Amino acid sequence: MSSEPQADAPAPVLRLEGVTKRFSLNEGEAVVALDGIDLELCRGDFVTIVGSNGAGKSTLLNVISGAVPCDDGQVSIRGIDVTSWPQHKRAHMVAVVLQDPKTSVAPSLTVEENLAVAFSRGKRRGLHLALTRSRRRNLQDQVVALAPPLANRLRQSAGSLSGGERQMLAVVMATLAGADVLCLDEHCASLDPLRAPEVMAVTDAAIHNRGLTTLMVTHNLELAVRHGKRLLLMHHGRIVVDVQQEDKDRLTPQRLMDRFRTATGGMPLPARTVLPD
Amino acid sequence: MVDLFATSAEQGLVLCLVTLGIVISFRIADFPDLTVDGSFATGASVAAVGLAAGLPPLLAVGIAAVAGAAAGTVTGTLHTKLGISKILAGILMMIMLYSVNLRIMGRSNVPLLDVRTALTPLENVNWAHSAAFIIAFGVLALAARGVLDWFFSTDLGLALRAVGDNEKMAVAAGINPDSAKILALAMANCLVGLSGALFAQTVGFADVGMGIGMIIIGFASLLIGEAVFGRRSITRLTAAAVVGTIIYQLIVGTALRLGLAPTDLRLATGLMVVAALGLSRRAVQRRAGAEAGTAA
Amino acid sequence: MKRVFLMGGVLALVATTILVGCGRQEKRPVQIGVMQIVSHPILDAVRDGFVAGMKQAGYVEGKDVQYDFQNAQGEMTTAQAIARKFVSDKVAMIFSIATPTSQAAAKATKDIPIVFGAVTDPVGAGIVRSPQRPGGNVTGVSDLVPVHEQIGLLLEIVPKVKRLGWVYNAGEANSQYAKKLIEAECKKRGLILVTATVANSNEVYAAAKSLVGRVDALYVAVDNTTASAVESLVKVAEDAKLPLLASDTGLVERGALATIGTDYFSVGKMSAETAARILKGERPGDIPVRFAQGQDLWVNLKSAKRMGVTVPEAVVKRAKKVIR
Repeated sequence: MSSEPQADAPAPVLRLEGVTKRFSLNEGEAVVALDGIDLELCRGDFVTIVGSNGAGKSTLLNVISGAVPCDDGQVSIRGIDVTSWPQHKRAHMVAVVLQDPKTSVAPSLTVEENLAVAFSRGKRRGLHLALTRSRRRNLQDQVVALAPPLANRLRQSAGSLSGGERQMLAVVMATLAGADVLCLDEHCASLDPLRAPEVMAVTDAAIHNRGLTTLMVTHNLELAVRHGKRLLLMHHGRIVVDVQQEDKDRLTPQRLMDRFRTATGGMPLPARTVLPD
Repeated sequence: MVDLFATSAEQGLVLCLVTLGIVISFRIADFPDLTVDGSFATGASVAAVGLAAGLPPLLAVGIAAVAGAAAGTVTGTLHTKLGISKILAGILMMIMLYSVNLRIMGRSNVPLLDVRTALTPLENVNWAHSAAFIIAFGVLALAARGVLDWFFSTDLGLALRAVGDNEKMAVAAGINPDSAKILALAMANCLVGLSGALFAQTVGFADVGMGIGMIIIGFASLLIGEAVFGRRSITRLTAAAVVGTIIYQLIVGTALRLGLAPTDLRLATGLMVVAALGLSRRAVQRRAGAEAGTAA
Repeated sequence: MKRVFLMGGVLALVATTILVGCGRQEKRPVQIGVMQIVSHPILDAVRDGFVAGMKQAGYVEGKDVQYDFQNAQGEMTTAQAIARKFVSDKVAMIFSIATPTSQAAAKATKDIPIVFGAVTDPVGAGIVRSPQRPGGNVTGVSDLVPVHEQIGLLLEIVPKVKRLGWVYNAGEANSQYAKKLIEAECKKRGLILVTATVANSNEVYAAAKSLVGRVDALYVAVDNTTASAVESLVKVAEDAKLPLLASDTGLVERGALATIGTDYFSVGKMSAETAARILKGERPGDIPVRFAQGQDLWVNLKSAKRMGVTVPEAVVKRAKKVIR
């Protein structure tokens, strides 16, 4: 995961300013999921995000993608203020891959059809036939390049794919039409240990292929440490640790744990956190 | 026996448009739309008023179809913009349309006998009327089916299917879910309104209560058709809609001839739906079991 | 002489002033609640006839009488709610059209006078004790269909009829009652009655078609469901060249062949006559139920032609109304 060091930083691709999100619980209490987040990402950045449950990691991605509107603050992509835009309006800028393979693809549609839907992200959908021969060939090529296991399953229904295959498909779909920002929300967390690396490989290929700016939330410290050029530690809706490239290269999962304990005043990481053997 | 088949085919081909509409709302858009009972009568009312006023028949029928689409649009808007649940939105529209239809006709019942209808040229045919109707309605049904099969293989149609199948994923792909649902409902109820307009001309009058029970008839027809064709693709669904409606009319006609009281028809239809749902559930479970076995 | 004249004139003037003064004090419009079970051409005709009959009896709408027109939209619960509303509004009289509404009204009040229009079997419906002496607060006009005369008319026009087809809704109380009458009449005349039942007006077309080839003539009688779908019967009759006999004149207007019938507008007017008597002080229980006279022979020659029927001259001459 090497890339050229950033000289004088160009305009940030993604900028969050004072982003706050509150959720109200049943008893009238409010939980602050995001507490005045400031964040900037430049083109080509790959940021991994870790933290305890309820730290706000998923909410952060949701606010960026537009799935959840924020209460205060501003979200800008490529300098455009998208804070009030619903998700479908900014979908051509932000691509997402969610955690649950059961809901990451459309099960009744074929693999090809799912890809065709993803292909049209950001384009006007009219009465053009969705799967013309040329489009089919194009999609086939992409799949062969990025996710070979799916190459001869194009005509099958997406619902008949296994969990790992679905996540692979979801990754290809997210990266098919290009995006300014790619959000990965623990997208390998529900897969068994043999599948996860496959999907991660597809993910890396896709990101590298398009030079995508990426945010990846994960509970797997190994993944967090090995991937990406920057790491954020979140706790109670705040970014408590921000490890940049140079420091990150020297990071190990153990050191990460220590930093986390220091930053959070002794809180252990949750049981789900995956540590290397 | 032949005329039983002829009448069933005739009615089935007119009413299969309702079933096609139900395919769009229930199966494709995942929106249980109960507007049908209302929009069917709206199509009948609008067409009747237009025909009685002397409008060219095809124009009257066209306006009726548009009226149906308008009804569906309102239902969709009630759900997407006002947050009213899908079923409740449909029920509300169905109830409100009763009053609207009464207003449109000005009375509860408009006769269409001595009026030029879209069917008049067919009625003047000298040879077997039934055959003429069956051919004409058959062509219409196949045309409707063809249009739908084509539409749902376009980008726009695929977008509607995506919203109905996995709304989260569709939104993430940049599809506006509200517009998609409204469009689906407009299309579905356009077909239902069209069916109502043609049905009124077949039976010779338009009545404000004409649509009552249509949703059940349409749904039962669809289930029967799916038992034959399955629902794995759009083309199978549309075929199921057309054929299922004709089979349903045949079953009903035969049952009535054999002595079933029409007042018991609703119970019988309901039982048919329950049986078909039970059978299809078993089929889904069997298929799921097979897939679990083959999946990696 | 002159004095007598003068005295008479003054007396007359005084009397008139007193009378007019009294009259003006009592001149508050009478409240009448009018309820019908559903929007329907026949029931609407009864309502219109009632209003016209009341006007003739001296009760002009807005001036002498105020109507509260209510429609139950086919729902019995709504009918009951309407009846209760009339009771709480303390209307002077309730005019109920058709059986279900009359039953709802009779249940809601034993005090307010109820006049019914177009109830085929008031005794069977439980709203009067006997037609001659209704007994309670309910009386009115029954539209018992002159089946005997009507079938007689059919045989006069088309003597060769041996099998008669009748489509009806078994769920309607008046149709269940009429079925007995029609069966008895057919038996008397040696005709075979073939029936087909429907549950709503949409089914009439298919039901009528199922009778083609099994009957020599069709009959549309009494049943509200088939009446609202009479156009379907006309279509089938014309298509299959079958005579379509009707039970009321409105249906002949809409395309049936002929009838000796009840004009429902007259039923309404007759009800108004009864209502006027009650408003003038008579007790409803003492006024016998009146039966709409089946005397209007209507024939539709346009339909006859399309049904392939030649109507004998004698019938045409006798007819009260001929539609060409």
